Amino acid sequence: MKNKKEKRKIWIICFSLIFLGILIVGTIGVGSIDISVGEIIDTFLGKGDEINDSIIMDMRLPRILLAVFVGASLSISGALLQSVMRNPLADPGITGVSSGGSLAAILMMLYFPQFYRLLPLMSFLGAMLACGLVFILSWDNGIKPIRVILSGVAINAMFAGATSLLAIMNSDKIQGVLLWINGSIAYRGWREVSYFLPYCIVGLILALFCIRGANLLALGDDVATNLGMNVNRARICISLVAVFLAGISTSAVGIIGFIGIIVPHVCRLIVGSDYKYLIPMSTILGGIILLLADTLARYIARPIELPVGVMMAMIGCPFFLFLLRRRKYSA
Amino acid sequence: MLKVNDFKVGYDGKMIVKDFNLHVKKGEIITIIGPNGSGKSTVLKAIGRLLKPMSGTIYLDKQLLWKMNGKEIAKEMACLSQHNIAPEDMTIRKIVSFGRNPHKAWFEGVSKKDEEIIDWAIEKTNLKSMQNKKMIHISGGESQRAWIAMALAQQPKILLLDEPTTYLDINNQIEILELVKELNEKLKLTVIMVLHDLNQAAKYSDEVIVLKNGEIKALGKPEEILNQNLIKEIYNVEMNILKNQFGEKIILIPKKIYAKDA
Repeated sequence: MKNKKEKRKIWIICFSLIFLGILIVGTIGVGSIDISVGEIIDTFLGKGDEINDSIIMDMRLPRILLAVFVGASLSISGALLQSVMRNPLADPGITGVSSGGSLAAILMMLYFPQFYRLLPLMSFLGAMLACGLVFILSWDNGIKPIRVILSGVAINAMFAGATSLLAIMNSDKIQGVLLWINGSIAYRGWREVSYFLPYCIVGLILALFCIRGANLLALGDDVATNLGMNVNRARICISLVAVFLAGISTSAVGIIGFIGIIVPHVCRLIVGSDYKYLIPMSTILGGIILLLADTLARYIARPIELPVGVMMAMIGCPFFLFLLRRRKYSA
Repeated sequence: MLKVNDFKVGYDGKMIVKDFNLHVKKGEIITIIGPNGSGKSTVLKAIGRLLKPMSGTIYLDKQLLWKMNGKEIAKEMACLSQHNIAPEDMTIRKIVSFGRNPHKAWFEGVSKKDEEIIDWAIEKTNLKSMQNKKMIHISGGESQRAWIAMALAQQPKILLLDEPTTYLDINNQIEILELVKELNEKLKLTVIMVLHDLNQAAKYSDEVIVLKNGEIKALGKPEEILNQNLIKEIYNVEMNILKNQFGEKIILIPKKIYAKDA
């Protein structure tokens, strides 16, 4: 028994998915060298010229895939953290999860490069450590929203400091580290995709199992307990999924901020706060936004590439503010 | 129905309620009254397992509460806190539908039977005409009714309410209490609630529990136990008490506060 509004939400989600598909194809052609649609089709049919083949298959396609899936992962991670911490400002960046993940990843790259394949897991462990610390520090008879932010800032500073220390101690290899800290999808190829994507798909599937729990947590601990939920266990499970998604994303591209706050918020304005719609919508919109940001980042000042984090702030924030001003809770 | 033995409850190692014993029979309305900080809400939360007691046992239908799983308890007993916040864009109906959660495995959606029970809960609480309104657009009384409807959708045998009338105007207060009374009579729902208003407690309860500093000072039928001495001891207020007038068994009219050292 679906009413009109729920049907409309499903349509919105379907249309966004189609838009994402069009965007993926559209952005293949955009970059330092433009490639026409005809040439793209030729490449996929195996009749393209070698240079185009190599640009599309070796550079753009893996990069686009990474942008889409990282955007989706970070957005869901933000949406889930917001429910777990009952704080609309929670996101992997603010809670220190991303910096924990990136510190672990940098440690691994500098000192154990032979285990490169395990990078996503290592990142996950670092992110978990950061998240665990934030939880412990903000625990005072339950999680207090303001303490989450404060301890998140502290943990963030601590991990960022440790990262800088590592960077200074390894100034010969600093280039890679800097790239990491700023968060960039440039120069990532199939190797990163193949390490990242399996974990990402597992994480996205796990996120679907969090829908009911996230909805119940949004009603407050008392109501959730009353409805038979083991609140602490649910909180830990959902946090683990959120941290996992943020951790593996960080391992692939470094720290990208804003997206974990902005996308779930925009999605709430579009489809409402029911996680049944919020999770799919965040997945798709997260992919769209990061792909747009990355495409702009490589297009605007070409052939120079801007950090995608800067682009995120530049396109995400005005959009968010605009929607907030209109305050159109259309859902 | 519900048996509480030697309850001790507190926060952070500080004991707030001690030696709390209670035996609730099916179909009773029991109201806990007492001054601010007497531990009323604390003990209600502990009975509703929102708070873990430091010691003591609760038996729900002869089963030890802590041995039951959360969803099993939720099918027997619903507990509403004083203040509940919902995501503001959720509709009343959506809130009520969460009441079906204890009856569902994690993979199950809302079935036709669930929809019928949701309809029933909405109808019982007179929310039918506004069931698609969002929580942000409704009044305090309507919101309280929505939460009670959610509790009803759990199909519990026991309903625990923590100050259900606080922040409501007199019209809404009476509406909620009449609703509670009606649910109690028609569905044989056992109700334990916390109230501040002594007259409301007396009018709507079969028994009242008077709590001060975490101890039960009196327990029994309101018209039998509420007297000037007790009210003085508990609230330090001088009270005129009328019995069997205006169709009420007991009416309490506050007169003045006793001097502090009296």
